[in-house]
Amino acid sequence: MYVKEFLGFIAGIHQVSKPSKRINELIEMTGLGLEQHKLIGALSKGYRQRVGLAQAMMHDPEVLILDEPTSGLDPNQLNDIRQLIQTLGEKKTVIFSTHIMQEVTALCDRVLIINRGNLVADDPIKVLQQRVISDHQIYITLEKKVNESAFAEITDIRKIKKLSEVSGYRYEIMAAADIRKDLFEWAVRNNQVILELTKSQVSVENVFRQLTQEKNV
Amino acid sequence: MFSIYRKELIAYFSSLIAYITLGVFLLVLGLFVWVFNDTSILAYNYAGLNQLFTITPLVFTFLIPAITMRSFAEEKQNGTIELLATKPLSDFQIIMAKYLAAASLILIALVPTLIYVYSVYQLGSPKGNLDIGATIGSYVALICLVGAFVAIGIFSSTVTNNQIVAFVLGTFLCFFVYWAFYYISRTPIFVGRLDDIIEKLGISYHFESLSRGVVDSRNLLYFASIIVLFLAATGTVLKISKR
Repeated sequence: MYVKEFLGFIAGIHQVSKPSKRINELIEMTGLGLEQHKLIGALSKGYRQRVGLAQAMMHDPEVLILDEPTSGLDPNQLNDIRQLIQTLGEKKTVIFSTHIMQEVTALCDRVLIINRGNLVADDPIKVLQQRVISDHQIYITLEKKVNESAFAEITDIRKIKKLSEVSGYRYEIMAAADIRKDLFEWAVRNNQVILELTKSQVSVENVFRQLTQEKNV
Repeated sequence: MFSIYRKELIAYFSSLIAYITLGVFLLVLGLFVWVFNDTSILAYNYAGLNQLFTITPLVFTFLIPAITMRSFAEEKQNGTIELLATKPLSDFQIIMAKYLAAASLILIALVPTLIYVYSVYQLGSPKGNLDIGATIGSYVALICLVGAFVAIGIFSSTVTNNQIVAFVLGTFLCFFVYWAFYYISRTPIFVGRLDDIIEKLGISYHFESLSRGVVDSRNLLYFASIIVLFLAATGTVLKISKR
């Protein structure tokens, strides 16, 4: 079936009042302009996805439910589809599922995480990020090797993990507070040179991992 | 519903399906009715179309399931059945649209056979020596037969997502409903006891009775019940497969 023929068929099912006008609008909106006279079977995955979006929006629904709308797309297509979702989101409710967490941070207002059929989180994205902020994850890279017990004078440290020894000695530190200042002072006192000192952003990815793995244990 | 009907018909005519169907149907009929010596009207010496109406059910047994096999099986295979299921359409509308589209295609294939009627009418001696009543009755019977076979074909297409399985099942069911009851009724156990009842369960009895030119409401009701029975079964299968 051709793109236009298919959209015409869907318009017929929904009994859209001015089909050809609406179809042109949708083609414009989803950026199908160049491909509108092609066979759907001959389109790439990204364009097929757009045809799917176009047909879903045919009757101008209040709520759009999309199942992994960006899976299998190349970076350019990904960007286009995300932008489309964002513009749609201004006027309509868009619910979509995804495995890509950057997408969540980029597009969503509210996040629901489902783990093995159970809802484990249902929060606005800001609240969600704060939920796991209790533990601060800090990465430090030192020039010289130290024993893990050397950090003992900093009381807020909960756990230390040695990561790698390539270009310096890297440690992952879980702490109850933001101890970057303490770490710096500790290094000065012990004549250590700090090559890297970062506090990891609490990304949705971390939240996701934490929320889904906790329950699995 | 009309838009699905239109889409289905366009799908038949924009692929080879429609042309192959019409071509094969008319070729086979033409050969049997005019060329092959055993069955040809020219060799038969009577101005009648009996051959046409005995061959057609046999051709339809194979041809109709071949057309209807894709209707639901293909949609299931491609996953496009979900698209239809999520649209504001009832199952009834979807089934009727597909049923009517396939039936229309076959009825279109029947139209050119009217030329045979005209030819035989002209060839009769004296001219026009043709049993018009029986011919009209036979066409009514054929239309009923198409209705029943298409219903059977659509039904077999819903029970599977494999088109070959749908075709074989459809052919078998058409064959069974048309001929099997007649042969079962002729087995020695039933002769003289239940044979007339069993024979009336099959299509062949009603088809032949209509072909004689007597358009009896009982025969029409029989065809209507077959169509309703199979379309209702289609609806049930579709509903179950949605769960």
